[in-house]
Amino acid sequence: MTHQEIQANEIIEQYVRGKLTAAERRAFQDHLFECDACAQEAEVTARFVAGVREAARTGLLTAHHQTVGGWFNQGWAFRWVAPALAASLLIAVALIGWWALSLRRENQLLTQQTAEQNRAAEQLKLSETKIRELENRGIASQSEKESLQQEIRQLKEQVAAAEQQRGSQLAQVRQPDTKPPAINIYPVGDAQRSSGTSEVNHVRLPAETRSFVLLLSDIQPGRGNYQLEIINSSGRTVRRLTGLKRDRNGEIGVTLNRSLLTENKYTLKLLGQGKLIAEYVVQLN
Amino acid sequence: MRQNIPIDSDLVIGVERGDKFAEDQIYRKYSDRLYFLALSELHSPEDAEDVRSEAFIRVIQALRQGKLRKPESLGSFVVGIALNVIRELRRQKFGVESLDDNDVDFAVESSPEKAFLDQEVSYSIAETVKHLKPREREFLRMYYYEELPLPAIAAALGIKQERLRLIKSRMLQRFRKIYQNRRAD
Repeated sequence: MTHQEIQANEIIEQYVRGKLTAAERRAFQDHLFECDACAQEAEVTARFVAGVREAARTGLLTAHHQTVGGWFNQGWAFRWVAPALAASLLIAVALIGWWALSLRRENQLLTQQTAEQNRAAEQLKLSETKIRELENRGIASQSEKESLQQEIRQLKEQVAAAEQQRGSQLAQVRQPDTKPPAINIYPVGDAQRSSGTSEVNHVRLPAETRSFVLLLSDIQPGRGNYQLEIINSSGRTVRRLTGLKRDRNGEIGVTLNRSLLTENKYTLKLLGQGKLIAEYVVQLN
Repeated sequence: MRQNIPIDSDLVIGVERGDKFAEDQIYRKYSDRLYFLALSELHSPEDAEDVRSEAFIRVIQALRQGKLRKPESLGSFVVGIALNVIRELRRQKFGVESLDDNDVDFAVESSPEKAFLDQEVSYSIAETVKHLKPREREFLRMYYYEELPLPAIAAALGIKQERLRLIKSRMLQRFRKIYQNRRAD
């Protein structure tokens, strides 16, 4: 029996486990007294097998056995679980924080809208008071009366419509949007566009979308904080987002609430240190 | 230390000439192996110690008398004498003649596991299996304790046989490292 045969056929283990025939056993014993490596290996293997059998007898090798320290100590498969869980937790916390910030912004907008409605309601009251005074004095002409009544009707309609809108917006804002769609948009004159492509970024959102993320790509570094102005078709700035930061990929992500963007087309101006960096035209579909 | 031990033929000639140093070198070279051989066969540390002593005395006596014709075969010669001593001991203790009858449990009062178990082994095994996955523990138990064949274990656990061999080899390697470090401390 050669050393190679012993190695190749796991003879040492078979010897220790009593699996060799008498002739094989004797041949291995002869080799054992000639080979230092096999002698050492045989002794260690015998102790290993004895130890494993003892461990099995005492329950140390049952599948459900857990050592002190719990399942986090259970081999390589678990070594990545703890960091993965920690990372997931971190992401969850970040998402919740992001959602909370978004919610705060929406609430601020709703507060503004509520203030506007209150002003409209006051205006309505003023108009009603004015028409009553005119009636009392008997000096209001029929045409003035009709004009004022028309104004009152319009103001009432406006207040009613605004309240309805606010109610639905509040209901939506109270529900967390866990997976808002993210859309890349490109600035006017961007080199990545093919020549035939329109400058308008068409953003197609599913009907149930409450919020979405616009990713402004290829932002040049070195401007610190950025500011984004959202301008409607009348040229009025409807949103102003400040303190934006460029991420490692050169992108700025902006979360917007669909229900607060009532128009379909907007111009977005990205400013850095007071200077215009890029302009985006967005068409919401 | 072993590298400095002269080759077997020189040791044999030395003993024949009455060289005590050569006798000492033979003992140093084969002492552990004699003990391991006897322990493997008899599963009793006390009997293994007796075999070691008795076999060594007989080897030296035989060499002094020039009974070994091929000095380069000293290892086989020592094994032969040790197995004779073991056979005689069995005959005395259990009335069993054949050394080749592996089906007979010669030392029912002392299991083969216990013969090789000590605190260092228990500690090293506990450390070795500490990080094992449940399926790997299950494999070790099925293979070494229940003595199930590898293909059956592979089928039961859904692990390829090659992978099981790898696990086995890795475990032994880990155990060896821990055990040797533990003994060195």
